Amino acid sequence: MIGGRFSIAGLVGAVVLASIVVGTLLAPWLAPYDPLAMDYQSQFLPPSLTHPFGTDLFGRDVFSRVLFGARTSLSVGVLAALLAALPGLVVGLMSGYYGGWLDHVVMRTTDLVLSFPSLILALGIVAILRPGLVNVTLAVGLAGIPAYVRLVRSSVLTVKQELYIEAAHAIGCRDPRIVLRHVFPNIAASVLVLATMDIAWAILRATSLSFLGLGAQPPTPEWGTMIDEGREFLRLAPWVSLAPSSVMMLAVLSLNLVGDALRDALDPRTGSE
Amino acid sequence: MNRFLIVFTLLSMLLVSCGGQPSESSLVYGLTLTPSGIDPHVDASSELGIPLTSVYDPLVWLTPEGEFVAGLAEEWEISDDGLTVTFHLRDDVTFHDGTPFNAAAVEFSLDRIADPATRSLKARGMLGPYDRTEIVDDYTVRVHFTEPYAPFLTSLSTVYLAMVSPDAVSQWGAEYQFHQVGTGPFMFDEYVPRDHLTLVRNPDYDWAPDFFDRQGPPELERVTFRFYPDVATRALALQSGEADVMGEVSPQDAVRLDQSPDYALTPVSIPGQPLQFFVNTQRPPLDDVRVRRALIYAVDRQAIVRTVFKEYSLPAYGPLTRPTFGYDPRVEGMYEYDPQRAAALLEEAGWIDADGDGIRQQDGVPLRLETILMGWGYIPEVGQMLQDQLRRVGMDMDSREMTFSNAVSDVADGRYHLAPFVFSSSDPDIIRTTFQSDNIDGGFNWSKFADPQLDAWLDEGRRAIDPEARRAIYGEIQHHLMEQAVILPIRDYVNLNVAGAHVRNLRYDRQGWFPWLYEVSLAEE
Repeated sequence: MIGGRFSIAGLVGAVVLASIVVGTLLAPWLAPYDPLAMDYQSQFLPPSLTHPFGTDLFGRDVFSRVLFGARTSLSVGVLAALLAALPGLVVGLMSGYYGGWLDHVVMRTTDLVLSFPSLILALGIVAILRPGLVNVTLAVGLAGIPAYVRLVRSSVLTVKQELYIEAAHAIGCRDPRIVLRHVFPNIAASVLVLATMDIAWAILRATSLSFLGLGAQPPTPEWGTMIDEGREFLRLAPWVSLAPSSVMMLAVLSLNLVGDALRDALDPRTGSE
Repeated sequence: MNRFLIVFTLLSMLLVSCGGQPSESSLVYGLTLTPSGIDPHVDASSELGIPLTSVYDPLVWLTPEGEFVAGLAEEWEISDDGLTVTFHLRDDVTFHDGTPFNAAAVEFSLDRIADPATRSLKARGMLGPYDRTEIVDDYTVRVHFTEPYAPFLTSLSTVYLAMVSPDAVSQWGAEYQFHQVGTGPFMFDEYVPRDHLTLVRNPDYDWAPDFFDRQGPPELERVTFRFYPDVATRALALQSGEADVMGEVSPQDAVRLDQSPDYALTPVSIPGQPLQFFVNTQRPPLDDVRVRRALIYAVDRQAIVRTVFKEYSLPAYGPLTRPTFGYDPRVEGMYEYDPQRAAALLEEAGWIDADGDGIRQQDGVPLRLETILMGWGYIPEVGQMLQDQLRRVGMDMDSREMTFSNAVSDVADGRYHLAPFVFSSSDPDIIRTTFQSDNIDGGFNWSKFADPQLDAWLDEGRRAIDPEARRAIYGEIQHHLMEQAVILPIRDYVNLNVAGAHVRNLRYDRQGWFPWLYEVSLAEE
């Protein structure tokens, strides 16, 4: 379905993303060291053949930690995006399709949530739920719901005007059937695009929270906590922070490239000519 | 026209500040944290004492060797029953605002601390069972206690029991912290919270104690304190020349700066309690003393200190640090790193790794310790090393970094096995705070350790006026606490202060936190 309309940037993004995902899946076989194993004698070794990304304060291998950290960070990103997308999709569909007082309540609520800086919102949620990876996933997910609701609702409003919906009504289709068979397939593309971008966003948010000490707890390797751990030694051992930051940057960039390419490929309205 | 005038004025100011100015002897001192309040009678932070120690003179000085020598009081006598201390005051001292220093000022200062309306967070505790101050004559006071209180002179030597100008306090009231007036070598000039605090030379200062190597006014004309709460920026500020002295640089930066001839590193050991993890003795499996002992044997403190704190800190072995009065070196041999012994003790206590997953169990319950961590003082790093070392003897450790207030509520609910804290203090009496049974609920007895014998010793130690008897009591206490293994000590707290090589004669008082800026001079550049 994507075919020849996929741009070069999108291809590059897809290749980078795929290699990061493969690296993540194969981490236990690819990692040269146990990501938790401390070796006090090897503190802050610079990158070399034995330690491609160097070692940290405790002599742990940064490369292995980045690989295993990708598992944590990527899965938090994907889970949080799902957690935002599913409820957002359901609520947005209902709100857009049925309209009326339900729409009113839903829209005012999302306005309220959207008017709040999302990082602060996520911070607040974690502060109430207490730090931890699960709660960070929840917080980032919850904070992401309103964006889906708005997108889905506005798409539904457009689709609702279409002749084929009217036709479906005319031949006596029930609402659930119309929503599932006629409305949803026509908005799925934009949800998919948003979700791709949202994974990138969720990774950034979750690593930010972990960077602040609210997410993954040591010694769990996670990009945000790794960047934080290296921050104090930036001048002495820059690789401790730089390695996870660079890989995270690549992951987020490639997700965005893929998202852009998907949008261009799927959405005829915004496509390049 | 107006705009032109402003530009012109600015330009001329710029010119004046570039040249012309006589080279003023001025020092910039980097503080680590912006204190929430800086009234020494009211607030508790150690940071407030770094500037203010130079604003106030104590009644008695505590020399670096641990002797009490005359300050604003020339002589003093302690009554035989230990209930009163009589001070004979100097009659030639005036406060910075011209108010004469006399018996009324002493009474005013001590009463201000004791007044519940002052809401003192630290000074009131340091004043102990204070009853009242009696003015015998203009330059003689007698301080009365309801029971003997051995730490009194030590408390008096600190800035928290500062002698303040009664006139200034009545004039400024609650705003006094911004307009402090003492008798010290430097006068309080200006405090802009979160930005800077400035002291200027007291030209009339003529009552320095003999152990300082100068007399008369200080050499520095101005000292500016700036705040560097982020540890990563401290060494940078020093190297860029923004600050002349910096408190608490990171151990890794200290190693680097120490190798340079341009900087002088002054590591100062802080008396009081070490960095320690309180062991919750009421929560299984740590209610079993064998498990607690195994915990200490399993931890390689040397390795932790070498890895995280570098060669400047010493591993801690007991509840008091080495420079504290009454420190008993007997604790040093009690728990040498011995993982085999730890494993044997755990087996004896019935903890065995039956399923071979590396973690011991008993009746199907895995041996797991829930640990509170806090985000300062390298506690998270220490936590990770503990996790690694405990796992090697089959103990699982689950850690959670949290704010102080969350830690306090978790402790109140008993939701922890290990919880860290550091208390610096001029007197061993500080361990009442952490080990007396009264302090289990709502206090700092985070080991939740209740022991009538210990309570009795702690009271006795506070009352014993004779230093040798006192030392013996605290020796017993330290030995007993470690025998019961109620804490996991990590390292003696050491402040790593670094100064540019042009800063001469920078010394710290016996508390370790507070610089004697009076003696400091700057080398010609």
